Amino acid sequence: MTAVLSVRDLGVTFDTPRGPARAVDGVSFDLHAGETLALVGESGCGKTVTALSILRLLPDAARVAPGASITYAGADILKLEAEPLRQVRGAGIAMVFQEPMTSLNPVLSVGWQIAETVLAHKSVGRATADARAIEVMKLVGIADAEDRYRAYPHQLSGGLCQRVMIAMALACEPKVLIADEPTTALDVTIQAQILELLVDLKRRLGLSVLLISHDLALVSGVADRIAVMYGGHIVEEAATADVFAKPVHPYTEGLLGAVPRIDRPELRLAAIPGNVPPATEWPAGCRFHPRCAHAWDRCSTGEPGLVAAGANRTARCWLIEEPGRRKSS
Amino acid sequence: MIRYAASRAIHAFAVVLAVTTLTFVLIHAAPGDPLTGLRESAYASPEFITRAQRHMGLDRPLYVQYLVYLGNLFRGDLGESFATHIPVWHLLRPAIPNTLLLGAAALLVDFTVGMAVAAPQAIRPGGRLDRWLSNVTLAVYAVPVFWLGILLSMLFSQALGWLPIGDIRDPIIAAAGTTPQKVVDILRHLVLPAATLGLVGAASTARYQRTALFDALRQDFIRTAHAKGLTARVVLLRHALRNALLPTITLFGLSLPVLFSGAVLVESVFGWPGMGTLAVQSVMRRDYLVVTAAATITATAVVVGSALADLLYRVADPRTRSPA
Repeated sequence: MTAVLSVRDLGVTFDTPRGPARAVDGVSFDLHAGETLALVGESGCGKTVTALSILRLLPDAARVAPGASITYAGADILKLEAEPLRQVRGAGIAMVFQEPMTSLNPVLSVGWQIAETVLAHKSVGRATADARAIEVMKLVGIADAEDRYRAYPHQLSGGLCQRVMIAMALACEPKVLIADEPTTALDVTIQAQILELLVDLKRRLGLSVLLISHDLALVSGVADRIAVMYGGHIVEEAATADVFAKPVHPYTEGLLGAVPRIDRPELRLAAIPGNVPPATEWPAGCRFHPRCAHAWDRCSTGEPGLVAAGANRTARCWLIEEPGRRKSS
Repeated sequence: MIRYAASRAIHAFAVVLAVTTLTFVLIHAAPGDPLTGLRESAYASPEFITRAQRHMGLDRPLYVQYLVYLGNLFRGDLGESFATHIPVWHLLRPAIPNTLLLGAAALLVDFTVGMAVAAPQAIRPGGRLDRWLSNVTLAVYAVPVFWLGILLSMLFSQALGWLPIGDIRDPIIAAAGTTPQKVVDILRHLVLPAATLGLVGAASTARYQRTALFDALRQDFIRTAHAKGLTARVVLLRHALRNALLPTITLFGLSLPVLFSGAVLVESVFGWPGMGTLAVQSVMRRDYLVVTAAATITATAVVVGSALADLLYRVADPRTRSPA
């Protein structure tokens, strides 16, 4: 399998009044052709910052670590000049955001917002761009696309706005689609529709999808591989089936324990105690150890590296070296 | 929509009527009257003055004078100037286009300069240029408009001799020049008063516009616009500026009264033959009917202008046009 997108040693720091916040730290992963990789974690774990840094959409206050690289189509996105970067955005890698209502411009019609994407990347006329806009609106299942072309975002529901966002992302046939919590702001029934749409489009168009979500249950039916993030690190990465069958990292275990299981109603939901600390105050050692049921003194002093934890899977935990320390629950 | 238009029209009519009434009462309440000069003259007998008073209708109670004035006003009769015996409308008619020309030019200066100053500030907030321009706009905003006018005329007219001041046209060119010469002459006379009036407005526009553009540039849809590969220029002009213009349109409606009151000062400084100059002269002479008519017309212009701003807002923001 070839990687269409390779992220290496990505670190992002924000300068805050309370000191530098290391939002993302040493994150590396490959997105292979035609696969769906899910980045999963709680709020503040760095998954959205990771997604935004791929298209260099981070706010001005963010600083990317000097050793990082993000390789797409043979070039390091982090080193691109303005014009080649612009050509990657939308045409090579497209993005769908969490809040469809605020992510669309309120004073421009939705059809025009799709068409202008086409005009930005293809040397075609307005009529062709409009036709393409209507075509992708139909592709994402918007009924009466010709009429809806002229609608403004406030006239459409959240679900329809997200379909417009997806249509906009697909208008220039990108290879990679980054979907940052694409269903979080929507009603539950609409969530399933949008997710099905993404799965369907991915298969039909041969997209590679980077799906960002806090919801492990949601990504389980969609993702080929899952990378779990905690405290700006990837703490475990494995095929979806492996993650669910036998989680290695206690944090992944905790996330799975927090997922309700319809087949085992007798199990109580297990909450992970405590909260994610702010990115200015990561604890020494393993960043998860204050919340970890298995932690011992090594966890509070030495920071574990991301190491192999079986075939095609990695994790960042001392338990891999000392499995005897695992407490049985 | 019709209900809205009707209620707006009633509201507008009430405002104009209130301004007319207030001006009429205030100018009568001010010390002195149109005959003050005559009374101080040694040649006018008391009988003559009484006769003149009766002739002008000034001997009647104020409320009668007011009702007569309103009745004439509704028939389109603005009366006759006490000082010059010229029908008020004949005095106002040449002054109105002059003031409108000055106002339009000042608005142009106001909004183009204001935007041009705000855009680089909003793109790099907190930068050296931003802080420097913020200080300049604050300083200009704090300057009294007549003082700026005197300063500009001393510099560009007296010291450098680049531009003429006084009146709206050069009498020789007006009499013997070709049409292009006449147009250029009027434009040259227009530059300093329009710049004076426009720059003070531009300073406040720039400060509002900087904030509006700053906010617009931090919206989610700007990130979307970048993410889909639009150029920085298109993101700024098509996506950020269109949204940032909305508060500016409101500001435009609000700036109209300021524009007219500013015009009174600027026209006096530059001898611009507009409504402001006419109003000042008429107040000095207690030329009641001219003052009231000037105020009524100004109020009408302000009301029409702010209705125009509302209409413009509806065009610019689709959210105000149709319910969700």
